[in-house]
Amino acid sequence: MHLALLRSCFLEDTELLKKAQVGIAMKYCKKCLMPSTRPEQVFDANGICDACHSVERKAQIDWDARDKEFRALLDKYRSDGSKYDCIIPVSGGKDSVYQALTMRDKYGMNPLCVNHTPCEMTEVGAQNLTFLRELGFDLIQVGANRKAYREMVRIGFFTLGDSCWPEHIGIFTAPVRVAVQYNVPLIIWGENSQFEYGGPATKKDNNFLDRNWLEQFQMLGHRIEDVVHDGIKLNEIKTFHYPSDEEIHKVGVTGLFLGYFTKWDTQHNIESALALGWHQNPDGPVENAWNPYENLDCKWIGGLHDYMKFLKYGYARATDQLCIEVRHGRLTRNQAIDELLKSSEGKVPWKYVPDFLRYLGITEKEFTTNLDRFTNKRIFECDAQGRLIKDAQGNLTRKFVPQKL
Amino acid sequence: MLKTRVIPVVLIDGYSVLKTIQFTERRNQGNPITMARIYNTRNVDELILLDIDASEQARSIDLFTIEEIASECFMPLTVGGGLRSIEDIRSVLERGADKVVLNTIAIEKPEFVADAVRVFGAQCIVGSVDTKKSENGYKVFSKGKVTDIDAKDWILRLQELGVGELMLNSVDKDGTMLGVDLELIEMIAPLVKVPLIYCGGVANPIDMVAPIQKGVSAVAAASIFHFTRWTPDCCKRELQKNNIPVRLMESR
Amino acid sequence: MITVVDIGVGNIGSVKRALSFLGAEYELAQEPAALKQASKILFPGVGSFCVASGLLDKQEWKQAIRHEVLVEKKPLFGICLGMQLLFSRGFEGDESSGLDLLQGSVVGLKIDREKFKIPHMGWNSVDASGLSLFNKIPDNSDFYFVHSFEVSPEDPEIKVAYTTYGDHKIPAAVQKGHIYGVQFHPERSQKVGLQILKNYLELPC
Repeated sequence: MHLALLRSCFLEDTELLKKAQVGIAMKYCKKCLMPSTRPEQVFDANGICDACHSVERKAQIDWDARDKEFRALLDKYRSDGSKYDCIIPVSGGKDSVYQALTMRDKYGMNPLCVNHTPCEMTEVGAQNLTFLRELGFDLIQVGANRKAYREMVRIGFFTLGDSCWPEHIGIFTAPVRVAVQYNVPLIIWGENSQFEYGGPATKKDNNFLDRNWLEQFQMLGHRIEDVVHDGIKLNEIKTFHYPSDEEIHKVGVTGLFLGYFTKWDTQHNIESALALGWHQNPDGPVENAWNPYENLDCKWIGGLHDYMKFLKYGYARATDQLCIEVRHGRLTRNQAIDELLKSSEGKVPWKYVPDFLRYLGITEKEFTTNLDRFTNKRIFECDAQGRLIKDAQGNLTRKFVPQKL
Repeated sequence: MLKTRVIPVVLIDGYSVLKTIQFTERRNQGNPITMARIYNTRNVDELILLDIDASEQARSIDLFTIEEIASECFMPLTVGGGLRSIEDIRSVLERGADKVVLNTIAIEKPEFVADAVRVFGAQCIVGSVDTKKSENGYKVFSKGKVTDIDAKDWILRLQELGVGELMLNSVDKDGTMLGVDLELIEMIAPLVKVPLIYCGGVANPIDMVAPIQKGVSAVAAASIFHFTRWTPDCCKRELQKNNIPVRLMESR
Repeated sequence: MITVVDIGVGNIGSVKRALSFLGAEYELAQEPAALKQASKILFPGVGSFCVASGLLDKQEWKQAIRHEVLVEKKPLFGICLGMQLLFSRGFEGDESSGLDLLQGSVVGLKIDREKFKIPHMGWNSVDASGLSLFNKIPDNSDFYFVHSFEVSPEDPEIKVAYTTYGDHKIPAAVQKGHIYGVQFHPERSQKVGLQILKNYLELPC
């Protein structure tokens, strides 16, 4: 009798456990590899992600009409050459090169490039910014003071699970500040990531980027004024302050996505930039990515930032890049899965970790404890006590990978 | 003086935070630890955490995710979603909740609410009502449908059953950020003798003022914090400007 | 070593978490004998006075706690229902007896129920009145309350800090010698609450 009771308790527990785990398995798009865990991801009833739908729609878009629309718009802003008439936010990456060259050489504009210095610039990142100037572009580099920047990185890492939080803010704020201060209202952004990778219906078809876009998609739920709770004074982080609504309105700041008006093709951007002498990652594919062409400018934006994305959502930059390859027909989905499993996605990016520990003045234990805290333990193998299982390099084992169809 | 509370609501689905719009559309807002740490950093008055699919999928509340979030929070935590038994409530309280929300089960078995109050104390039990406006007035909304239960009658019934607090959700306004349902508030607030939380439609800090002035004890919100520039402190500063006592923390 | 009394009333989890966060070593006492090793005692509680009183009797806690506190002179800190149980008697449900370490009763909130809601739920400021538990805490800080009953001390030597609800002053914290109590939940009152716990932990034994 006693045993039967015990057994029924045990069964009840496992049933409870099973019930609690319904809906936990990661689901992947049937056309590409995008997982359901991605924030803002939308899937249709057939299990296709909206980024795949965007590609189909891209093929239907009348690009000539969009080009006409763009030229008409630009005519209103174009200067006689003596003044800047548009701001190009740049990181020095392949897209920056495409944006700058397109606006100057195809559309006859007079761009001013604006860069917000990343958390910790890499050598190749610095080379590529110089390269932009070699191509004939004026560049403003906004270097936030390292003291406050460091504390914002600390908030990003420990509170938000994203070491590069201030970098995202800087990228989308510095060009707007310069636009206001230099009285150059037009800002030309690159791709609308909500369109290219998936996003909510209200935002992904936008041709413009404003303060609210930054707040919804880049800030991870935190706001600039929240930093005061961690002892940072608002006056210490001026480069991160978005201009006021009055200033924006007075100058007439308008941020447009170049990816709305021209057909965005990452592969084309890579090839043309390389042909001109742009530098790819000298060590091969960036840690946690698949190709050596993206996120080169900061020691931690490729690598640590992407690894933290992996811990939280079970996918990283390699998945993003391979999805692009699949959507543009350069790889089949099954080939992409093979490439994914060969890539460094999901491996602890040790290369720049010592730099990070030194930068924040933290120990390796504090570092790994924090990484573990943000890890979604449901999607990685754990032992009987619920602790993450790690190999000798600290790497986790994923429970879910996209299956070949 | 007792302060008015501004309460962020966090909805979870599996291990993701999400936001609904009119109880149908959903937006995945990411990692729950990030969300918990943000609200903890902000010293919010309270946090309401709801597992929104538990009832619909007829499964237990996601104890794993609840515990993950609770372990980060040092503010009062109210938890709900698919709670159907004394054991369910106990599991959630053991994992760090201070109060639990009963919604669907109360409609199916009202006497369960009275049992829960008896076992755990009224201060632990929040009766939650989702309401939608129909041609015949405000009705209770449950399991994706408008019922024929009158919202006012139901609120009063929950009060009779002894709950320590009531939460009033406007399905029409949910996630829309089109402003609160003042008509609903004006109808319900004067009848309620226990603390009353209103939720649905807040888009700007100023939207929180009128509900409080009409007798609501606390305003809960989610979309405003996910999708706009406004933080809970911004909302409280607006309340303070309107002579409503709030708790505003100095920076650490 | 701080010993946390666990008679099965209330959310021990939050208290444990707060203690861990503060780096305190603690152990749970689930039977009276465990109090013998205590150097300081913490008594959290949520729920009904009458039910808790019954549990204290059934499990023979009352004598053990009284001995450790009055004879062995160990500090004791009651939280919420734990503070209410420090007193002589309670009138929640049937009249029942408390630990009688502090003279007084536990009665329904003496507020105007037509104008003000029960329970007293939310953040309210406390006038510390010099109680040492409030060291390093800014004056009139807010703490989280959720209760429908209040203590009514009958011994003028009990130091009391009050909070105001409506036009009524409610005892928010009490102290007599090495016996302490707070009506609010320090483990839920964020920074200032954690400081209250820290102050108790740092008291000399």
